[in-house]
Amino acid sequence: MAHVITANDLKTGLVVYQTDDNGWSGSVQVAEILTDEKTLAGGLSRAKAAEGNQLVVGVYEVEVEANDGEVQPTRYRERLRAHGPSTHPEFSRQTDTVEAR
Amino acid sequence: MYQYDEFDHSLVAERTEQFRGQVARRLAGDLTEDEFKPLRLMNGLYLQLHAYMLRVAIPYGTFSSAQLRKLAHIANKYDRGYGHFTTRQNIQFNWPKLEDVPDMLAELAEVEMHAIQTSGNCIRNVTADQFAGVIADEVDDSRTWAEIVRQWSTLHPEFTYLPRKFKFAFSASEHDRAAVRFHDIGVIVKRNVEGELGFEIMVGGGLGRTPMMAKTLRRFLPERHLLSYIEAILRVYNLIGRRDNKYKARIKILVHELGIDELSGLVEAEWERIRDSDLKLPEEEIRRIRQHFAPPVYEVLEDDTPEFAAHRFENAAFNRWVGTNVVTHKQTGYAIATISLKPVGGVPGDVTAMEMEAIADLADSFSLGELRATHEQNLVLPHVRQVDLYALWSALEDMGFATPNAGLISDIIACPGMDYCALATARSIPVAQRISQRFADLDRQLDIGELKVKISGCINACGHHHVGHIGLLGVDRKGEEFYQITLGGSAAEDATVGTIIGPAIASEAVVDAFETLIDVYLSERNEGERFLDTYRRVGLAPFKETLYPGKFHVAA
Repeated sequence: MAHVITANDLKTGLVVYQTDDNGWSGSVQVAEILTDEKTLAGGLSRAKAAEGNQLVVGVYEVEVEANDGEVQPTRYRERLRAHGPSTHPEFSRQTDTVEAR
Repeated sequence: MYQYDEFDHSLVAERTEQFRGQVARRLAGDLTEDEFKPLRLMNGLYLQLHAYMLRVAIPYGTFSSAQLRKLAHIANKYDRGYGHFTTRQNIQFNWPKLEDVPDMLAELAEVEMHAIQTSGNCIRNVTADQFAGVIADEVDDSRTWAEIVRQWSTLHPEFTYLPRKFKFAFSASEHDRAAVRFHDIGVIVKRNVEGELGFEIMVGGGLGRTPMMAKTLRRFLPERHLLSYIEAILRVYNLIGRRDNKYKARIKILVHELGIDELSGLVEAEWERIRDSDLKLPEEEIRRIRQHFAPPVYEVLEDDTPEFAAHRFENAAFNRWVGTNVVTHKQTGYAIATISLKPVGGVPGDVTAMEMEAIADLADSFSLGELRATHEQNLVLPHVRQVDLYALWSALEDMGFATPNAGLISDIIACPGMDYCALATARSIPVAQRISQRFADLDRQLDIGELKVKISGCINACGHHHVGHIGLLGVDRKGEEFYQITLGGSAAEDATVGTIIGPAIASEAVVDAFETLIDVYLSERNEGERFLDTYRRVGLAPFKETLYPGKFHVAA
C-alpha cells in the first residue's frame, strides 16, 4: 500500500506533505509516494529530522491511492486534511497556496 | 459591563509579552513542540486539523460593539475573514499563523479580551445565562458572581495543573439557559426563605464519553462564602481527582466514584479550615463588582405601543421573528433580541468579519453597544427599545440574519467536527446544514415547535449531543461517516441525558432518518406537546419501531 508523509507547518500550522527533494508542499499531489516498507521508513526518518529541525510538527504517514494520476488519501479524515474544510470550498487546498520549503 | 482595572490590564499585557517570547523561542527552535504545547494551550492556541486555532474567551458571554469590531479586525487581518462562536461563549479563529498570535493577543488586550485559560487543565472561561441582567425571571444578575469567580480563577497558582479541565456555569433563573447541570460546577443564584441571597452549588456534571448530570453539593451557600466554598471543592478535586487516566480525570468521575455524601464530607472539612480566611467576600468588594453590571439608564417607555402593534399586524415576517427571537425585557418598553447565526444552510456560529462589523453597528444603534454570545451559538442584543425592533429586524433581514428560528429545529448546535477538529471522528457542520435545508420551510418549523438539535463530531461531545431533544453523534464505521441518534436529552431545568435509539445510520441516510423521527412525533403528539414532552410520554418504542422497522422486537 502506498503512503505519503504529512505534518503541519510550524510557522503557518497548515497541512504539508513531504516531497521527494526533502521539501514540504501544501499539495498531496506533489508528495513523495512511498510504495514499500523500506522507503516508508526512510521517508519517516527524514521527516522526523525535519521535525527535529523545527520545520514541521506532528509527522505521520497517510495511506493513499492513485486514481487516474490523482493522489487521494484512502481515509476521509485525510481526504479532508488534503482538501480543506468541506464547508468552505473557497479555502480548499486547490485554490490555497502554501509555500513549499 | 465589567471594565478592566490596572491589575487586569497589567496581567493580560504581561501574559501577552511572555507568550511573545515563547513563540519567538519556538520559531527559533529553542523550544520543542513538547515543551511549547502546554504553553500555547494555556494561551488558547491549538494545532487543529488544517491549521492553528485561537480560542478567545467572552466571559459570561457579555461583550461590547467595540470588542466585536476588534474581533472583525482580527478575522480580517490575521485570519480568513470569519470567526466561529462556540458552545462555551468563546470565539475561535481557524487559520492564524503562529508568528501572528502574539500580535493578535496584543490587539485583543487593547479591548480587554484574551485567550488565557481557554484550553488546558485549568478553570476555563466562566459562562452564564445569556439573558443575565435583562430577563425578568432572574433572582440576581449572575454575571456579578461569574466575574468574581473569573477574577479568582484567573492564573490561580494552585489550580493551573488540575487533573483535567474545569468548567463553571452560572444561572439565576428557574429556566436554565446555561446548561448549568452539565458543568463541573453549576451555580444557581437563589434566595432562601429569609430572602437572603446565596447559591445552590451543583458539582460533577459533564458530557463527553461519560455524560453525567451534576448533583447538588449544597442547597444554599450564603453569598460571602462563594469563593471559600468553591476553593474547598477545587482543593479536594486537585488532591484526589484521578490523574492516572485522562478519561476518568474530570470531577464527575470523582463524584461518581466517591458518592456525593463522601465528597461533601471532604469539601466541608476543607471549607471549615478556610471559610473565614481572606477568601470571605467583603461586602464592599461584592458591591464594587456589582456596580460594573449596574443596569444602563433606560428611557421611560411603554410596552406594546400602537406603532409596534401595527408593525406586527402589517408584517407577518416581522411578527414571526418577534414571536421566536424576541424575549420580554425586565424593563418596560425594552426587549431582548436573539440574532440567529443559523440561516438556512448556514454554518452554525460562523460570522464573517463584515457581518461582525454590521452587527456591532446594530448593537450601537439599538442595544446601547452591548451584545451577548449564547452557548447555543447565537448572538443577543440585550437592550433593544421595543419601538426599534422593526428597524432592527429590517436591518437583520437585509443581512440574512433575521431567521426566525430561535429554539426551533434549524437552531442547531454543531461542533466544528472533522471539517476543522483534530479529534473529530466525523463531520458535524454539513449534517446541520442538510437538516436546516430539509426543514427550511418556516411554517413547518413553527408547527414542529421547540426542538433542540445538537450535533457532535466525536465522543467528546462539544456539540452537546447527549442533551439534544434529538442528538447526533458522528462516528467512523470502517472509514465512513455514520451518525448515532439519541432522543430525549435536555440541558435545561428539566435536564436529562438522552437515550441512544439504535445502530448508527450512514451519512447519506441520516437526514431521512431524522425526518422520520419528526414524522413519528407529529403523529403521536398531543395538543401543545413539544417533541421532548411527546418522547417522555410515549417513550422510545414508536420512534424505534418506525426507524428500524421489523428489526427490533419492542415489548408492548
